[in-house]
Amino acid sequence: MHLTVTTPRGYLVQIEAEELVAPGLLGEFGVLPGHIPFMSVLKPGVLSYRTKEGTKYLAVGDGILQVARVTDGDKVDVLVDRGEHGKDVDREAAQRELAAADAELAKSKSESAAELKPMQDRRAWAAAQVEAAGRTGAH
Amino acid sequence: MPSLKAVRLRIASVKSTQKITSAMKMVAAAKLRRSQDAVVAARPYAQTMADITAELARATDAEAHPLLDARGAGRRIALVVMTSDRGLCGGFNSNLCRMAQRHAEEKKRTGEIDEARYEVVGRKGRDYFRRRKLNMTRDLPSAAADTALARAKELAAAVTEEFLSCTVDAVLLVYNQFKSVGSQRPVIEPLLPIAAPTTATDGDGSEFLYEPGKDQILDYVLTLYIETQLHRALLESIASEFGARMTAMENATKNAKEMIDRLTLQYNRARQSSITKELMEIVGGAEALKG
Repeated sequence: MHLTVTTPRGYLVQIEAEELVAPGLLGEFGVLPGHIPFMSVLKPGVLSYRTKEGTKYLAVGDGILQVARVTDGDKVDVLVDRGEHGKDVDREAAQRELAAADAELAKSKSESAAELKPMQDRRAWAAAQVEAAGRTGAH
Repeated sequence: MPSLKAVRLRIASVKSTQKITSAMKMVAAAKLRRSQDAVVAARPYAQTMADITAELARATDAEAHPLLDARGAGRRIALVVMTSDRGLCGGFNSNLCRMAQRHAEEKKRTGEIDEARYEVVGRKGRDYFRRRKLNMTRDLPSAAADTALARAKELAAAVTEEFLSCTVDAVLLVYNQFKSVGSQRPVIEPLLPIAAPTTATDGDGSEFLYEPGKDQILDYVLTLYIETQLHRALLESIASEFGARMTAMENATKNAKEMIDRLTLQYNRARQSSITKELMEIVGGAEALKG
């Protein structure tokens, strides 16, 4: 199946993949070739995909994933507001960012969702980066 | 024939204008490269977003979501006109504004719409519609490549709200599409209601499975679609502005050069004729003394 990951800054991945695991809003899910047409909202996390060369890990932000059947097989389109290859993540900077985001959240007395949202987004992205880097490094 | 001194002053003034225009050309060229990269990078995302939205709209009844509701083809429309804050970029802004105005007036004349309002980005557009006392309901400053996303979100929230509250029945985007450095094309594109394509795409039309639910997906995708399209249009407009300015300044520099050449020729002629005149006088004086 043909996997395309696109961000507002351009294509991140365009590859033939054998399997992929994505962070859905309701939990992680896997997609294998021959999957039925499907659409899901993604939350920040790690998207992994397996190709002939091995498994790769991507940190991704909010987005959507669509599986569609086209004439020459399946295609999976992933649209995310940001994304980064696990091997490109600056792990220390991401960990510092995660700690800073946690501290900011802990300090905040705010109860309003609108005020907490940017802090939570910041934390979620940093956590995704750390995890993607960690899982890339473990292999 | 103007005096020697007048011509010399003229040459000096044209030369300093030329310096300014060629500097502005360089600045526009440098900024163009950056904004061109941004618009080229943003296109695949916007295109995939549009494809997914089209797919979704086709698999859904128009009644399923208010943003898909084409109520009576739109009696009141809003035109979102994207212009720049600064001038000196040729017909970039005036062509676009004129096109928006003509489009609205044409539709009104044929009775397709009752009312048009203009929502303007950029100071030049604001000035245009204000001077003509047209129905301008919103004006925002123009954006740069890095502030375009925030501006797009602001605009998206505003037009979505107007559409959902039935203040307007349709929203159109009017902006300069970036074709190449030398060519920008003003275009009008429908934004709301989101229309399902009538032609079949490469999908086999089978029903999708949605997670979490179809309604949440629709809400999420349609909102994101509007933001993405506005963002892309803003980036196109920014790149076009620099392209247009670069071309305009290049022409201005060329014109200045031609003018300098012509004035120099005129200056040399005037100088030669004054020398000739002086010589004649001297020769005439000498002849008179001889006699």
